[in-house]
Amino acid sequence: MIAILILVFFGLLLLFAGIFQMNKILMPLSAIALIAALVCCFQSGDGAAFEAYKNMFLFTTYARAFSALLIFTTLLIVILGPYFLNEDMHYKGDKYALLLFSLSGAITMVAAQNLLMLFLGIEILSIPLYILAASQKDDLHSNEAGMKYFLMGSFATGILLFGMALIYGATGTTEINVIWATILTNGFNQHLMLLGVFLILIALLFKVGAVPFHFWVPDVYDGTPTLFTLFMSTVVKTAAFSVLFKLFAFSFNGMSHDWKLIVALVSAATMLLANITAIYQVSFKRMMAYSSISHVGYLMMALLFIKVMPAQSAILLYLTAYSIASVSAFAIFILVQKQSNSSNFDAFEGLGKRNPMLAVAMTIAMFSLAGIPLTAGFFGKYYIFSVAFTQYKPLVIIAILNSAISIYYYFKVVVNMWFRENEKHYEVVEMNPLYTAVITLTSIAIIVLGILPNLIIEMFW
Amino acid sequence: MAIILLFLPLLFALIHFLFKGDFAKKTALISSLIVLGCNIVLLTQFDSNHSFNFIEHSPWIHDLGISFDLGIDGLSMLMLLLTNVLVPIIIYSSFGDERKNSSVFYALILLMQFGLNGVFMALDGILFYMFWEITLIPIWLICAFWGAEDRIQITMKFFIYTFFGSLFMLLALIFTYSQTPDHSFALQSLYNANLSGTGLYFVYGSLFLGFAIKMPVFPFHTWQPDTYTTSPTQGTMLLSGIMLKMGIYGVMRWMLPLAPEASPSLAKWLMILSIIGIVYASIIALQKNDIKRIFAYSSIAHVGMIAAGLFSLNIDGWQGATFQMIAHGVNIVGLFFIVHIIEKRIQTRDLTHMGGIAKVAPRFAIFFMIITLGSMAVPLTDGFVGEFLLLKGIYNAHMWAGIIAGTSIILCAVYMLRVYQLSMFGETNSLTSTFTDINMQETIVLAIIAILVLVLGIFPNIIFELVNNSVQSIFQMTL
Repeated sequence: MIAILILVFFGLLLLFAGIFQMNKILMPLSAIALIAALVCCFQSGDGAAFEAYKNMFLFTTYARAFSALLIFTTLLIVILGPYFLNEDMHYKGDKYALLLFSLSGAITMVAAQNLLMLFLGIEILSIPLYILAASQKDDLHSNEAGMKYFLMGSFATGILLFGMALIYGATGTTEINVIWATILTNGFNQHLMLLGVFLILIALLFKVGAVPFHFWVPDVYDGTPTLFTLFMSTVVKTAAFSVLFKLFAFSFNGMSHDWKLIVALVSAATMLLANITAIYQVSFKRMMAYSSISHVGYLMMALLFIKVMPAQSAILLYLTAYSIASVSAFAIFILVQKQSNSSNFDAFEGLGKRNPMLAVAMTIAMFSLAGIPLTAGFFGKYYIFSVAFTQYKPLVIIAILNSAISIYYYFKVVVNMWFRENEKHYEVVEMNPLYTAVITLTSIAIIVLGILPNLIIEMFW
Repeated sequence: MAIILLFLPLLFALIHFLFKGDFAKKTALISSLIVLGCNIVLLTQFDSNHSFNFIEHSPWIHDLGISFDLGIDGLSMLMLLLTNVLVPIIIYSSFGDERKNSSVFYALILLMQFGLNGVFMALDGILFYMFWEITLIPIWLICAFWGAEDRIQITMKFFIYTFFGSLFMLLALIFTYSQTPDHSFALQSLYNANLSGTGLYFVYGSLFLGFAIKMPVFPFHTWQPDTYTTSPTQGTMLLSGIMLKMGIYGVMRWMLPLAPEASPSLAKWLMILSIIGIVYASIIALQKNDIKRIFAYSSIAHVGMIAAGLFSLNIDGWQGATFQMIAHGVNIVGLFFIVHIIEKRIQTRDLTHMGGIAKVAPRFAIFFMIITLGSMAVPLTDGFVGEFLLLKGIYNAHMWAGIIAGTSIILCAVYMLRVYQLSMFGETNSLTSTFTDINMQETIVLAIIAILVLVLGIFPNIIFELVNNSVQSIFQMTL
């Protein structure tokens, strides 16, 4: 709770700092806010759930773990900010403020114990993002991305709200716990409830970008300024998925036989479509967009669990691994993109010779996204597979096929860096100390979590 | 003790990654010799009456039942010896070449050695899988970095193909784990798992897929000839000499004892598949002119024989397979080194451009002959003992299977002698007349291999004494 207050307060401060052109302190100020919020996540309560505003919020261990992940990822993203935002000098304060506001929305979502709060959280998360997506005003693609994201997002929000209204109609409550209890007692209107659950499912699938609601993802990711693409593909995805898991693993679990098959089909379709499309991309950014869709496909397998506890650990670990590797990959991509002015794969040609350490870090990130052992991504996949395997064997086999396919496009980057000559004569990529720090940190984290994955789980449970 | 042997190559690999220098060759050779020394020290303390020596056990990821379990029995010891003897030979065989970034090259070879040692020592399912995959990355990098033309496409196929197979292996392990009474990935717990019905066949089939792609057994071999041909010589040696033995070792240690109940109905089909592979690969080998490709196909044929011996499910076949693993490792490394020598001198591997090399390079011709004879399974060479036992095993399982598999010995002699005749005998041409005989370094490599070929052929008991107990006890579990 305090974390949200801190973030909003510092967000306002940043707006003022922006007005007075105090560009130097923007990043440190937001970093302080994030670190303070991170500390709050670890301090509030000792294992016991913390309740606020008449059961509107419930800071369980689950909420705290995901909040910590969200804040940590945002912290890394903010550190990447100053160098990235160098060119468009205007309104820099706004961007940091919007990131923090959006994050506060994400934490609200994760901690919400009431459907209304959840809805507010999603809105607080999304509205700053619409602005951030369109923040490169002179770039048509960015405008297009903002517009698309806004239209699609509001549409999904409408569906979500409709679903919530139906559930309220069926059960007479918006509290997540009470809904869970009501479903178990069967004292509700079946049809209304079912429709409501499916509308919520559709809306959330929109938000996480699962097939068949994924069409906006590549365009939006491609057009949005790269740093905010990173925010979308990590923080937003993590928040949306943790909500998806919370609702479907807890509240709607009583009627799981109604939705499990659909989730399984969506998961399979998401993996297959995203992975196959990703193969044909020439733009690294679009490839990462499809890759993020495919990761949603893997994650959705965790909704088909038998026991809640391992499934929770599985998605926490998976999202951590995914977020860290994405931060690393995008940080390197930003550096490379600035040098070569190209967002295609060929921008990486000969990077192994130009900047060997950068290429090593990128290789580690790609290995992790592909799920090669000794990286965090492997254990992420391992947990998910073992959670889903006992029940849905064919689905896991599809997932394995997709893992093998995904090797192809992740390794395309590796191949370009190490085995292709630098035919376009790109110069050595200019390094930035903050980027070096983030990339080093994430690379080490990937390897450490690849050897000791339970560190992250023991930290919270 | 086992830990030292395991992590020593990793340490050396890291050192080679970090430091660049002109003496990377020499330091790499010294490193691998130190590892070999360490292995020999272990051998002297090894007691083949115990099932597992040098057991290490420490918890790793407790919630998931994964622990860091190492142990060495006779079979593991044999595989470790094969690895750690061949790696110095492979490193030394590269002394005559100059290549870019040589310290990285040797670092990758040592990293590969780390993974291989781990595979042969691991007694925990996930640990085994991790090491299994660790070996894949350095070999992929070696092939894709220093390979010939089209290497990127070919190595990508190789990587995806084998990765796909090993993911199935992982699934099988996860499934078996879910059926263990004590929820543990330890080898013994996995053996005790209650597998039944479709689960049993799933485990059997998935493990087979993982191991068969690695070996490779027909029809999963399509990555192999291209990969062997495009890889740099040392990469091909690592792949064929040691890495494919991971698949055979996997069948012996992990597949057949894990789901023995599936064997009676499935093993014979797998044996038939292997035998088809033998004949198929031998016939293709007869028609090729690229010697590296011929040896690649001969490798498929020999491995098919080993696999058939394992799936014949009798002790003769198993002993033959164990012996033949070593013999094939030694022979194939020698053969690929011979290809390397020829290619380096005349810049082609095409048989039709060769001839008369024996006249100008008699020493080379002698060593080539010894290794060819070993590969053809002539008595008193290492190939004979293994193939004889393998054929006996296959024949015991089914008469016709034995007879068809037996033709491979004839076919093998035909294509090996064809290679020898077309390259060594006949008139010299403009290419081969300037062929210089092998130098000191090449002589040493070939001499070591030739000595191994003869010693193993004349005194096969040194291997059987080491492995007999463990092979017997593993074999008992597969029944």
